[in-house]
Amino acid sequence: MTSLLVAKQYLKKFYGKFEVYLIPLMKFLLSLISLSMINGKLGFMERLNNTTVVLVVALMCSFMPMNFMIIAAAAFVLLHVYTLSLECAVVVLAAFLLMFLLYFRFSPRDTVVVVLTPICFAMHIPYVIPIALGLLSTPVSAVSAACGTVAYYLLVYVSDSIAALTAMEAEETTAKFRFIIDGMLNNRAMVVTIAAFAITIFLVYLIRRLSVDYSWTIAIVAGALVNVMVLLVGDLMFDTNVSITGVIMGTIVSALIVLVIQFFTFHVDYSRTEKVQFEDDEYYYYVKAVPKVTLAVPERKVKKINQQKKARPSQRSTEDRKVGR
Amino acid sequence: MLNKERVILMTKMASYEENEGRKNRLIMSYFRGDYVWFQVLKSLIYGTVAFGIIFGMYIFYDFEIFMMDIYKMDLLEFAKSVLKKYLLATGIYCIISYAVYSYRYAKARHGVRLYQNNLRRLSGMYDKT
Repeated sequence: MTSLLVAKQYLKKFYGKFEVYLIPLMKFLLSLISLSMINGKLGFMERLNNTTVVLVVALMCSFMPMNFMIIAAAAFVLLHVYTLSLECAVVVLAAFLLMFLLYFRFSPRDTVVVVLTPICFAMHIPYVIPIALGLLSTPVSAVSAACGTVAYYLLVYVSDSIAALTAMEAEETTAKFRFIIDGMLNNRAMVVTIAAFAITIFLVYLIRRLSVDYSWTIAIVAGALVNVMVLLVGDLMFDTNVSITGVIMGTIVSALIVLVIQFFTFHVDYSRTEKVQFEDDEYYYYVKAVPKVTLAVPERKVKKINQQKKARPSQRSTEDRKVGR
Repeated sequence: MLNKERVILMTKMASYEENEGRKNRLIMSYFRGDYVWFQVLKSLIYGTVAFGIIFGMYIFYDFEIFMMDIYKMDLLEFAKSVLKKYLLATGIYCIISYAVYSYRYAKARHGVRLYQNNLRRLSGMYDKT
């Protein structure tokens, strides 16, 4: 444990020292992963399906504000979908516009969740998002998680229905339009996932705010269990065809990842909890103070074993004479 | 000599100025009513655009049936029902915006007050020395 704490301190120190370079690097990696994922899932436009283009856009994203990444990702999706079908692009554009106009006006910072959610879905660990948001954010973030989930299912639906869309005649504009909207709105798996995420976020948030010992760990475990339960009950009720093993394994891995996040954000020593009670003119105070676990980074001392060579007195006097002192 | 307490206070204040302070200063440059109603007006515009998108999608979804029915239906009644839905949707959105931006204004005012208190404390520390 001590070595882990020392490693944590080193990482914190390292991050503090190189923050200026690390943040653009992380933005670059995040945009590179998301754009590559979009190209992998859709990839209809050949010009965009090119590593150079992805690298250039990711490099631009690394120096721009976070919201630029969302716009770049949305533009990639729209251009790919436009190449497939105009009707499809119109529906996707409408969905993105509704998200931007109605929700992200209020919380522009949450836009990163919309990028992270589809990435986590692709990595089969989407359950990290609701548990982590419940711990680090507020229940309002459920809307951001829902937007991310909609974006992911939209991508999956479009990539799954390429055959159906290409089989339709070019004149069947309304039919194509109806096909896409029906597919989006009648996606039960998406609705159940959104509900499961919202319930998990709310529950995790409620538990971690309690003043009981180990509230964060309890919140993680409870959140993971409720997430699995809601997804399985949703499967039974609406026949969403989720993989039970996938849900359970994904939730376990997600809970482990969130435990790592907890180690970095909320690591306290409950054995040294202090409960104090005092009063002033207006109130009685019942205070519970839990100390953080911190460890000083051991500093390296350089001990010089060999002493510096001293110049001999005779040599020194001749040198002084040369200089003219 | 370095005054540790003063350095801590100044660091906190600098951090506030750099992050929240900039945003709060912008918010506090308005009167409460002006700020909140300006944001509600913006929400009304965004809400109208969003309603337009949803309405357009709704019409286009059953475009052929709509075009066949357009000569039979009572257009005034249809317009009335659409207007009612529009008012309800944008009304709810504006109420949510009003609540959110009122809260944000109150929070910004609190932040600025804390900052001013800290400024006074800092000035007091300088007076002592």
